[in-house]
Amino acid sequence: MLTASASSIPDIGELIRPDRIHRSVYSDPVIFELEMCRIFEKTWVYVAHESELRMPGDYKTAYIGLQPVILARTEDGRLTGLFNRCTHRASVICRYERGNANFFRCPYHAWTFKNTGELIGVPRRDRYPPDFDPRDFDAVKVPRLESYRGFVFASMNPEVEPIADYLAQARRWLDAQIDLSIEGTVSLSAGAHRHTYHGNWKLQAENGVDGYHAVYLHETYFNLRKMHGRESDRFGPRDESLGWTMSFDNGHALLARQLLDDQIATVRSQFTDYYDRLERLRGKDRMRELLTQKNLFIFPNLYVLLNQVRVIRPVSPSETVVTMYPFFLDGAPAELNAQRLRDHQIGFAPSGFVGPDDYAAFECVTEGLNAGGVPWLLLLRGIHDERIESDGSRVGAPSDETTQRGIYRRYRELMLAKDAE
Amino acid sequence: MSNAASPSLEEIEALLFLEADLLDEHKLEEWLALYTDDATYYIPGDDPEGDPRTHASILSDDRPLMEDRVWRLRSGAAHAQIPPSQTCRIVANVRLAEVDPRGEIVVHSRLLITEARRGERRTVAGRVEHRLRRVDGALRITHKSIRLVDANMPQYNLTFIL
Repeated sequence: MLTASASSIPDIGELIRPDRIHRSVYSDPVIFELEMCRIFEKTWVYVAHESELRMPGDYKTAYIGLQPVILARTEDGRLTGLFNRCTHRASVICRYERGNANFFRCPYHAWTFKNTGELIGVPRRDRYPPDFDPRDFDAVKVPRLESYRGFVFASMNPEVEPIADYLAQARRWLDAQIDLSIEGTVSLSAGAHRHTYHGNWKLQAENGVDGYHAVYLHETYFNLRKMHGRESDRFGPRDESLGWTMSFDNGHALLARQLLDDQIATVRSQFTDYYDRLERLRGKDRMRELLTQKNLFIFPNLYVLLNQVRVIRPVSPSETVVTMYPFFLDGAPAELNAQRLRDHQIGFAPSGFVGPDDYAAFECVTEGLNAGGVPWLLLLRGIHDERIESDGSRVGAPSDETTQRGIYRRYRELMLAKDAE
Repeated sequence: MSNAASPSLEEIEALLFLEADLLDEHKLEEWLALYTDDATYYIPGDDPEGDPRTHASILSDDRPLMEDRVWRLRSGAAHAQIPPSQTCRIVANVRLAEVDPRGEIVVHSRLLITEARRGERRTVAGRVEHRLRRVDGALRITHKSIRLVDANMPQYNLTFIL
């Protein structure tokens, strides 16, 4: 599977240290190839949300690492995951990002597959050998496909644990993102913002739970909020005592910022009826967690962050595509959802006041990585003061690099796993 | 056009070309002055017909947000614009589409921007609609929208003003 010879495989164990990462981890093509098989083919990978696939025939295309797949809702209402690859001579069978179709026809020789994968059309079959059976050439299903509260994950690994277990301690925080909806479901019906940057995919993985950079890199955004007297709503204060970073099993991570009581009051005052009903349903303590600003990373490619579902797609060691789907809270007032979309868009559209600055920073990193004379990237912030909870999660201050250390602990384990081939 | 309020194509083009000049020259305050106080500026995202209240757009500004955008670019701390993009715009195929019942003048054109920043050149292209209105005798822009040819593709840093 690997094109590189074994002798050229770098010593990952040495390159990923508890407090630092070697620059080659962000640029070496051999490491990138290893990541695609040892990480993206081993874990669950987020591929779709059920709200994108409501009706029979709805489909979307996505990627597991570099591998193109199709997710579709079949006639019987179930979800399927197929490799987007004709079983004949390899062409993709679907060229659109999303749509509604009951079958996919390969553009090359017109082999036609139902969205269940069944091969239903092979033109001019008479020239195939007599024992040719189309059932042997159905589109290949992705080995595992599971949905957790609407979030659809796929895995190349038939042995992978159920998704609910995989989410580990992160599960209650994913629940907290979804439970802000009074119906307990969210919808990705608002389309998406798509970004591309010159840089490694892990720069984005690290960044969404980085509580250190925001006030510096995104200074203009916070200044604008202050100028408009909006600094107090929804975004938690940057105070180190009002929030935390957490790393969980399986590489998941959380950056949380608590809102002050008067901020919660401000948020609630705009939609009193909705939030009061929600509090009656979820309870007072849980309500505080629901209204905490949460940037949640689900290893290796998913963020549920503020008002968006963010999906990281590695393209090459130095090219990444990020898709951000603003999500709506089902059952919430239209104006609340419109406000969520507006907030998201001001920050994170390709013209936005926040996201593009992150990508500009990643590109500065990509350029700086070329300085081979300085090989290490530091992740030691707060390492002296990291607390381990009884459930195994590790906790630090909001600007600590607890989260990144957690991501790389899991990364290192997977990259060194003996059964990885 | 027989309507006395209707501008000539020459007057319309002069305004659009002036806008292009001001943006290429980073004269952002002067650019803002071309817009009415109730102006809106819109670049749809992956669904060109999507309602910006319920669908993600690349940009959907009212006048205060346009002012924020200019403030941010002027602040010197908008990292995605350090250093700022250098641009060269071609505004072409300018046509007066209609004068709507409210007296707004609808103008269609095509925009091709070559952008240079940090060692790379890129192009941005789209169909543009301007809505114009006379304010104290002067032609002003009350709405601008750009339908980018690649709006459904991953975008690269559209933090300069298009």
